[in-house]
Amino acid sequence: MSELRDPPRMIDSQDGVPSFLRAALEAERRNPGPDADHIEQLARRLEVADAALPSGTKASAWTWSRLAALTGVGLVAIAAAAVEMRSRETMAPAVATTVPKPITAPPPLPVEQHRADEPPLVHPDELPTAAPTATASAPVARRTTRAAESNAPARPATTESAEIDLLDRAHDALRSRPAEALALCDKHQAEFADGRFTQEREALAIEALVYLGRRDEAERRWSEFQQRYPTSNHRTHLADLFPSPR
Amino acid sequence: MVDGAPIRSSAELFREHGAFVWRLLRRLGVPRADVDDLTQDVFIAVHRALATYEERNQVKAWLYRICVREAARHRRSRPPASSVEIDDLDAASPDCPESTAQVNEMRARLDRLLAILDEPRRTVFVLYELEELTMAEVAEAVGCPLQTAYYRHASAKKEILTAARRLELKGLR
Repeated sequence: MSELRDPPRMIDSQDGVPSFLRAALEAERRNPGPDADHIEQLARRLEVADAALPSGTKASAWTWSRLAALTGVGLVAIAAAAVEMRSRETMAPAVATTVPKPITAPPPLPVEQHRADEPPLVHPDELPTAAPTATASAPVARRTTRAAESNAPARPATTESAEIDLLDRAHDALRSRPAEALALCDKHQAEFADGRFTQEREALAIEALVYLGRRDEAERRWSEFQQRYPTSNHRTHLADLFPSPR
Repeated sequence: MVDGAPIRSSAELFREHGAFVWRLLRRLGVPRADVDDLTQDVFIAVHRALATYEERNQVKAWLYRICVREAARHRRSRPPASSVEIDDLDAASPDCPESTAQVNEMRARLDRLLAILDEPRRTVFVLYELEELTMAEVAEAVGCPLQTAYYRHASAKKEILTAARRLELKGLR
């Protein structure tokens, strides 16, 4: 079984990372965020919200719908309440509003769909073509629990490497040479029909089709993507390519 | 209701974790103009859900997940950004809330390098390289398979390094 190891972080890597980039990463890591006064100011605004929200009379429809969206719970009920509240706020603000159903425990956020029979993977930084600069001066490696728990046979590193190489080339070509990117995706599909990175390939292919102006094909493939990977966070990016309501 | 830590107000939670959430949302690409409101949204939601949330002793892990989701949702709600030109990175950033000009510029440059990445890869890169989560924690926060997190990180790193080296060659440091 191959052992998954976290790659060295760029800030710790001595090879190949421009000094200005390392300095910028260090500067951002030290970024404390907003100052205490700013946080206190925002906290006071939240105290007002804390006082207002339980009554349900001051929360805006926007707030309730945002809560529902953020927590992923009770979406329909809260959206309905939000519409009702908006209506009342607009039509008759003096009338007490209905308290929407409280939001209960948020469920664990969904994990992107993947096959149960997926084998463990050799880390890309251990592969010949992926992030070659990351292999030197590796700090103490961590072993992940997911890797340790997997009993599936390891996929050959060369296969993973070839997949990553193809998809990286497709990604590099995507904006300036979408036809080439799509051809590389097709090549990946032909050579790695059940490959590790089918989700990445499909996302690239959809974007390439959009850039090529092949909207029908793109939309068909996008629809299939949503069915196959209903919780993929590629959906956020890809949805931007299809502005009409879906 | 679950046993465990007492439920605190969203303002209390904000005082404890607000700076962290604000900074994380910025790193994930939320514009300065929107980050105050979005940070507050996160805490209102957290407070509402904490009453029965079984993991309320692990607020920070939960905040990571909510911030990732919220930043993605925010990006989706905005018009697609125009592509970032690497060669413009020496221009001053109007969107950097830092203290000294030098640090300001370093962070601004990093911010614009991050803007090259699409949202999935930026998220993984930020969580791993700046928030210093383990890759397993990154996958958990993002809600993706561990292998996907590894791929996204490797790909993001490659793109960032390529862009940075180009800048270095052109002397735009």
